[in-house]
This record gives sequence, structure tokens and C-alpha cells, in this order.
Amino acid sequence: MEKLERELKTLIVDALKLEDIAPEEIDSEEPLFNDGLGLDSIDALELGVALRKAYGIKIESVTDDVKQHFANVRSLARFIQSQRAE
Amino acid sequence: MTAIPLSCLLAVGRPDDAPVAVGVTFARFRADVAGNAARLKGCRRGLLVAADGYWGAVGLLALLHAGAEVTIPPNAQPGTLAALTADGAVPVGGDLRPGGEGMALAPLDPGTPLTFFTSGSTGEPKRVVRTLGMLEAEALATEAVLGRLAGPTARVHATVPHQHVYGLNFRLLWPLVTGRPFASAMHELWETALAALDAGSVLVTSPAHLTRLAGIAPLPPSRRPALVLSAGAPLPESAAREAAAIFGTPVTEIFGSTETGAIAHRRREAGDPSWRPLPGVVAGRTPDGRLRVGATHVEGREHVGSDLVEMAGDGGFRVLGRADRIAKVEGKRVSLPEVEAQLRRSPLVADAAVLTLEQLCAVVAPSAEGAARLADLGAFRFGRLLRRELSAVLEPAGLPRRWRFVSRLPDGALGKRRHADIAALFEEAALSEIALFETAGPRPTVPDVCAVRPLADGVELDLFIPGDLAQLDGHFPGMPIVPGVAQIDWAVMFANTHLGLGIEAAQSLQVKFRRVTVPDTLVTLALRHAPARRRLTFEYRCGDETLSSGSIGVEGIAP
Repeated sequence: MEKLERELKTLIVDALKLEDIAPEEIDSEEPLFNDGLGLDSIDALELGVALRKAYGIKIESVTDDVKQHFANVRSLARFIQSQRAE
Repeated sequence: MTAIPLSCLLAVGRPDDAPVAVGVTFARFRADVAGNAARLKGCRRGLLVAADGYWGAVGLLALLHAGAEVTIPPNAQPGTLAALTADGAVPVGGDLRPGGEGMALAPLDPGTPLTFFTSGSTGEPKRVVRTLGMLEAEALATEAVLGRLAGPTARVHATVPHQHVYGLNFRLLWPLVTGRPFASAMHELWETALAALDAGSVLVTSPAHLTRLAGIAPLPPSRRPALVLSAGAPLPESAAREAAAIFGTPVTEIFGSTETGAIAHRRREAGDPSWRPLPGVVAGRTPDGRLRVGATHVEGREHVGSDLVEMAGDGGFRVLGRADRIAKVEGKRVSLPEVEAQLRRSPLVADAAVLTLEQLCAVVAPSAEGAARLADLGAFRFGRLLRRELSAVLEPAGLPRRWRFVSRLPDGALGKRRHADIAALFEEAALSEIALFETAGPRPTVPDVCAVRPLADGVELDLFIPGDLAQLDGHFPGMPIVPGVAQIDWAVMFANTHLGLGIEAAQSLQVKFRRVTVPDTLVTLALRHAPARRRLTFEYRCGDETLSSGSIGVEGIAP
């Protein structure tokens, strides 16, 4: 899980081309959007692309709480793991 | 279902069980409008802030039936709303509620004004007034084109908000007027948007979404929409092809503006077709190349905007670009002067310049307070802090995504050269932070000389600029750059020692800084003395690239 979180932080920095920040500076429980890391809706779309490419998330299995999965790195990691388990 | 103009939609009505929003009947819609209109009676001006599509439609019609003027704010950011409510307008959104004792819903006056905002080139948002009648005419012109492509009961889904003219018409008004049910929720992520689509539906989306479809498999027939709409900016060819493959239908693009509403369309089957005016719209070109639009749904029946166009032989047109400092970012109009003005309003910012290099980029000279925060937070979080400040007044598209922090903006009047100087700051990857406040020993003030080569008319030196240079102190930890004044000082110093000149101060100086010079690099300094012209010329290079160059007067000195 910790490894996946580290992987996701690197993915966030790389995929969103965030400048001036290193993956390890992102806290796993820090909100990704708004007041936390300050990502926005375009970042969310980009992150969606990156997650699909890296982990092959399938639309069919996604339900309404998709937004909660995007809350922070930890929730994203849990979501990806649950997708893998299916 | 027959189209009913918006002004008499509720007075004429539809069958009680006709759908309005997904899961909402016409009877309930009428009761919700009547109840809220009764509660809003006496409100003179209302700001429509409902985030949800259905309640946006209820709020809009309730305000109109209550006899209020309606303002659609450019965004729902607190700062924007505070400015708009300061002169007495009432925000209407969260307080809307179902039913209640209603008022009679008489036909509305098509001349009722509605106020929109768009990005003006002056730095202030521009107010645009359109009437209910114009919105009605736009919705009917839309149906004349799209009615052939979307079935009469097609559901309308959206990834765009209804708070701008594109979203308002295609998400809410066109469906309301033509009796198509619309989804109330807006989908920000593809994962939720695609899960909601059904066969034959309509998807109102944008280039921001359609360019981010990578990794999505073609939809099964049970999810394929009949119509995919995009507006705001031309869709890149690759995105148009990818979208057509996934949705099973080519994207239909809409061209328009806040001032005019939708005025033209095109189907992206192949290539880059010209824009076809909607029925009732006449497109032309002014002598200076701008698009001139004549239409009943345009204020004053004619509008000349800042889009530069060329006419196609078939009555259509092609868009060549903009004639002002308005940039299109993610399909949204962004006024660069406005973003700069808002940045300068921050106590953290002394000066700012904004430009687009695929993304919106900002170069900021922090204030003293800003420099302290920058040192504390680091460049990434400081940039995001400024974004959060801006987000109180600007839409997401107007928030710069790339930042550079400098002690002073490149000089010069607004123009090409300054643009190039600012753009150059973004050519290199962001600079990593360097710990600057080391305390060990006195810090160097001059670069290390690694090599000296004579030239026919001067000398060339290879210099290593150390990262702990004292001159970097007055500058910013997130952006260590070698100040221009230090470069000039060194040129004078090395010219005096290696060429035997006795320059005391750099006078009648001409200098051009092309690229920022960063510490921890090896640079080459070429010094040439032209005694006849009484000038010393200097050039700093990194590899083949000129960093800066200039000349200094060598006058009135002893040889």
C-alpha cells in the first residue's frame, strides 16, 4: 500500500507536470484538490488519463463515489487496490 | 415534442407527465417554478448561482416570473459574488426549494434583459446584456440544426456548467424549449459522465474534456450518444478522431461567444471544415479581417468581435486567431490583462506578466511579503497559493498553471520582445530549490575563472558561477538567477584586469538579457574592445546560446 502511494505521488507529479515539487513532498492524506495540493478540474481529468493508462481502471465498475476516491493519495491507492482485487 | 418559446413555456405548458430534468415531470417543474417565483416576488435583481442544472432552470424561470432581472455571474467564486451583490443583487441557488404555494405563471416579456459576463481586453470583466427573446431565438436556431441529429426524447448530459452561454443554451434552454429531458448533475470526470450516457443521448462537452479521453475504450452501442457537442475552441484533429472512435459519432462543434450566443456549427467527420452559420445567421468579414455576425438573437442584430476570420466560398468561415490579448485556455476566453491585474492586487505580488504557452503561464515578481512566503513554502506551493487567491475571482481556466518567480520582470513596453523574454523563462525546466542560507564562511562575489583565451580584439573567459554566490541573496530562493547587474560588474572587472582598461563605472550601457543565467553553470564571457568606437562589447554564452550581451562606453579614461 505504501509502495502504491509512493507510486501515485510520482504519477501525480509526472502526469500533471507539476513543477517545483517532489513526490515525497505530497502528504498521503493531504486533499489533492482545492485547499490541499491545489489541483483543479483539469488536473482531475489529466489524472484520470494517467490512472487509466497506468492501472487500467474500467468505466463499467465505477460508481458515483468516484469523487471520494480522488480525495487524496491514500483514497486513490485504496481504490486502485480494490479494482485490482475484482 | 413541439418547441415552445421559453417566454410562454410555463403559460402554455406541456402534459403533466412530460419529462423535464431526468426524473422530474413537467408538473413538478411548474410547481417548483411557481413556488419559488412566489417567494422571490419583490426581488428586483437576482444572481443565478445554482450549481445544479435542474435548480438552475427553476431559479432562472422563477426569477423571470417574479419580475426580477437576472444576472448569470461569470463564476460562482466568492469574490465575484461579493462584487456583484454589492449593488443589491440577490444570489439565488441554495435557497431554492420544492413546490410551496405558487403564483400564476403568465407569459414573460421577451424583452426582459439577462446579464452575462465575459473576458474583456481591458482587464475588467465585460458585461453583456441579452434579452429573453434572443435566448429563445438561439434555442430555436439550435433546434433547426441539431433537431435532425438528436431524437425528440434524447437525454441531454453535460460536462460543462450552465453558467455561461454555451452551457445555458445547450444544457438547459434548448432541452427545455424542445421538451428533451436533461441531466441535472454536471460530470467533471469521464468516469462518471460515460457511466451516465445512454443510447441516442446528447453529450454537451468541451475541448478540455475531449482532449483527455486517452485510455477509454469505444463505448458499447447501449451507451453511444447520438450527438456530442463541443464549444469554446477548435478541437484538435487527433482529439476529434479519438472522440469519434469512442462515441461512435463525429463531434459537432459549436462556434459562438457570450455576445452572440451560438452562431455556427460544423461536423468533424474529416479534416478541418469551415464553420456553417446557424439558420438566420449571416457571417461576414470586416475590412480589417474581423468576424461580423448578423442574427436576430444578437444584440443590435449585428456584432463585430475580435476573432480574425477568412470567408469560405460556401458562406461559411474559418477562424484565424484573435485580434486582442484574449487567450483561449481550455476553450475558455481568458483576458490576460485581467489575470495580470488580479495578480497585482495580491499583497504577495509586486508585478506580474501572463502569457500562454499551450498553458497559462505567469511570471511574478513577489512583494517583500510574497518573497518571504516563497522562501517559506517553496515555489510550487507558493504558486498554488497565488492560484487559490485568484480563484476567488477568476474561473479555473484563468488560473496560471506554470509559474516563474523573478526579482524584476523583463523590461520594455508590452510587445514582442518582452513576450519573448518572458517566454524564455519557461523554456527551461523549473529550477530546483537550492539551500541558500548556509552560514559557513564568506561567500564568493565573483565567478571562478577556469580558462582564458585571447581573441583578436579582446579576450574570452570560461567562468564557473558558484551556487553560493553572494549576489543571489537579493533574489529568491525558488528562482536563483544571476542578477544582470552582477554580469555587468564582472564584464567591467575582467575587462579592466585582462584588457588593461580602467573603466570605473559602466556608462552609456546597452544590454540585452536573452536568457536567465543560473548559478552552478559554466558560462563563457567574450570581451571585445573597439578603441575607435570607444566601446567594450561583452557577451555571456552557455554552450552556443547567448545569455546576455551588451556594450559599455570606454570614454575619458587613461589608456
